[in-house]
Amino acid sequence: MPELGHFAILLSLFLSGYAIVIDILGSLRKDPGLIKSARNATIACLGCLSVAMVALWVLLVKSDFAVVYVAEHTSRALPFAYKFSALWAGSAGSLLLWSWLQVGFVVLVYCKSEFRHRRFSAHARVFANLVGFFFLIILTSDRNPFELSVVAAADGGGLNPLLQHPAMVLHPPILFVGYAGFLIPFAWAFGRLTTNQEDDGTALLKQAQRWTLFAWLFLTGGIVLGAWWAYEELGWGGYWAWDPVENSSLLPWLTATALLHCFRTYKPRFAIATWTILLSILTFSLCIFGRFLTKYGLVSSVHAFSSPGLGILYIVLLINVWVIAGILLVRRYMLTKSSAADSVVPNLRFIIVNNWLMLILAFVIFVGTLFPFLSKVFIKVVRSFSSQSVTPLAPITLAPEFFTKITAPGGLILLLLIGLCPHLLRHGFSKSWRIILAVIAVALALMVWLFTCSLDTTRPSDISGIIGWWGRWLLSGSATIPCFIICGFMLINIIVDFVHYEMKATANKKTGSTSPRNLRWYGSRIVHLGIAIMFIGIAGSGGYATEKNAALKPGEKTDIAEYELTFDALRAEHGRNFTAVTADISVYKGEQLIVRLKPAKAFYHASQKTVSEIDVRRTLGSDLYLALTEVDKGRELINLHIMIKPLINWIWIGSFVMVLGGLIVLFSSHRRKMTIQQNKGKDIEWAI
Amino acid sequence: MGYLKWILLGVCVLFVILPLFSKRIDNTEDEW
Repeated sequence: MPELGHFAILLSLFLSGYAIVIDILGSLRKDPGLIKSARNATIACLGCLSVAMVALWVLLVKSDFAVVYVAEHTSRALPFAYKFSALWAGSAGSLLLWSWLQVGFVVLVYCKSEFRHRRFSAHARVFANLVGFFFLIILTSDRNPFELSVVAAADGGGLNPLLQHPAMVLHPPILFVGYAGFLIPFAWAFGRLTTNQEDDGTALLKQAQRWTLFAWLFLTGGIVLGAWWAYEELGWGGYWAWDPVENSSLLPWLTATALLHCFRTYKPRFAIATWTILLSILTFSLCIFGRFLTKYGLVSSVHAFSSPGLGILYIVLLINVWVIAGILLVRRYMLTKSSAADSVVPNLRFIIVNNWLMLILAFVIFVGTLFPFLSKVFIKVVRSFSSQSVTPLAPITLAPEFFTKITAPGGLILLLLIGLCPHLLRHGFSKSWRIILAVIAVALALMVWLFTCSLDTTRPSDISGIIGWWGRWLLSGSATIPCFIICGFMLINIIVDFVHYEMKATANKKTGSTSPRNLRWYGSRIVHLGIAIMFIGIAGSGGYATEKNAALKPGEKTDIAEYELTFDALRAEHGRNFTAVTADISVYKGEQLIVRLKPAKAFYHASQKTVSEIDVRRTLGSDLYLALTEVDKGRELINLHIMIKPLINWIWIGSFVMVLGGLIVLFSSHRRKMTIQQNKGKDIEWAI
Repeated sequence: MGYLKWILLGVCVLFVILPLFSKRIDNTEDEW
């Protein structure tokens, strides 16, 4: 079985290379036989990778410890679901999964038997297969998942206990579907650049747009699932630590969000077309860069794998991609110089502003993520120019607070823009500036008023003193209050927009004209609604969280906020592959017992690792979060980390609403004929 | 299990090279 798996990967590498060469030849010679052969090679490549995937799954489930990958990531006692998910637990397996998904998506989109657009499909396939080829080189030569060990182990090392969580079974494949899905708009962009078909191929454009939304949905789901796992499993009470690997998933999300808006407002021969092409290439490039960052160990991360191997090939691939893209973009610019390629549709200027904001945010996070590496290079350069001996300096790693503070202003402006979106769509920037100024003025006035009140502490008995106390409390969360104000504004605007839309639809129905009700419109507004709800959760849980540590013996009590906690007893529990010590904690509110929480510390036999299993009391208002940090069984003493996280569940609810809205847009069967080309001016709002 | 990889190779090679011998003429300029 390992031999078959390795052979299948080698064959897929050959087929991928063959498909690239034959597609280029077929396009140059305009030979349908060659094109069909290259198409079949891509399909065969998918078949081979499927065989490799099945082979690895069989080895994992059968616990064949002669294979290094199986021995490293599973053990005999591991539950079936985690044996199955071990395929993406390691570097080699996850690369195999990513490659399989990529080729699968290319087969679904660019290997259709229809002859229409076959030149475009062939060109797109060349670039998609080029990426696949690089991935397969790394897989065959560096990260072979079928490598055999010299002596077969009696039992495996087991899966990392932190990864033994339902969210971790789903998080990596969902994220990989997102990353791999962005290959479709990437290949579309190159197809568009090489064939230079500006007005042609609306179907291909729509297809790339749908796939961008599909990938964006999965990336969003994957990021949220990862955040939820961090909150549930890591025991530190947070969900986002601005770790390089987390950032590397956020970067393509930001550019993909901008890309989605560009696709929605796409107009051939306008500036938005160039933006769409650029963002399509950039988004997938950032996915590859994220992979490089995770696997090459350029910056240290809790997620990164230690061995660098052939990770540099990712950079070689990216350089190739951008050199080719640069040449093609310059060629496109020369060809369309005489047309309106740099002009902007008046009502859609704010889409360009949105793009710039997203790009600036992504750039800041990108530089911040690479800062340890950049600072190391800078120190080396300074040393090489300095004749005197310089005291050794460690690379500078930026604290999570830096990222939060630096991204807050841009994030708030973006939220404001979402809130203003309905006005901007109706009237554009030129006529909406009064509303924008009014909102900023009201928000600023509110903040200044609260701040001034908070300074006045001399007369606490009167109204200004009371307001001042509230002001101080509110302002303790820095960007929290502006975030609340803007989210409130967004919510009001979205509701008003819904009412406005419904009124217009009813009026149109009365006059007998076609109903403008559009599921896509509802879906996009629901996504924005989800963002508002999510940011209320982010602001609340970040700005007003309280925490404390308590050392307790059985019968002892501690309190936090309105809760009183009593440590009842310690219990031992035995699972299939772990032994746990559980603390029974009774939680009282006043005199009333409201819940019994059971935080635990579990020891996993195979990996010889101890992890903290948290327990939470969830409400819409706040979470009471308990993590057992230390246990002294002899003295029956426990150390408990207790946290109150206000509004944190709004993040998960908001994310769910976002994904729901995206699904509505994606699966909307309503096919509105009103395309961007037909829309000029006012009616543009129905298409977005 | 050794024969499985040769079956895989055979299927792939046939699937890839057969279109090269296809007689169908559909190489009109319009489609390009």
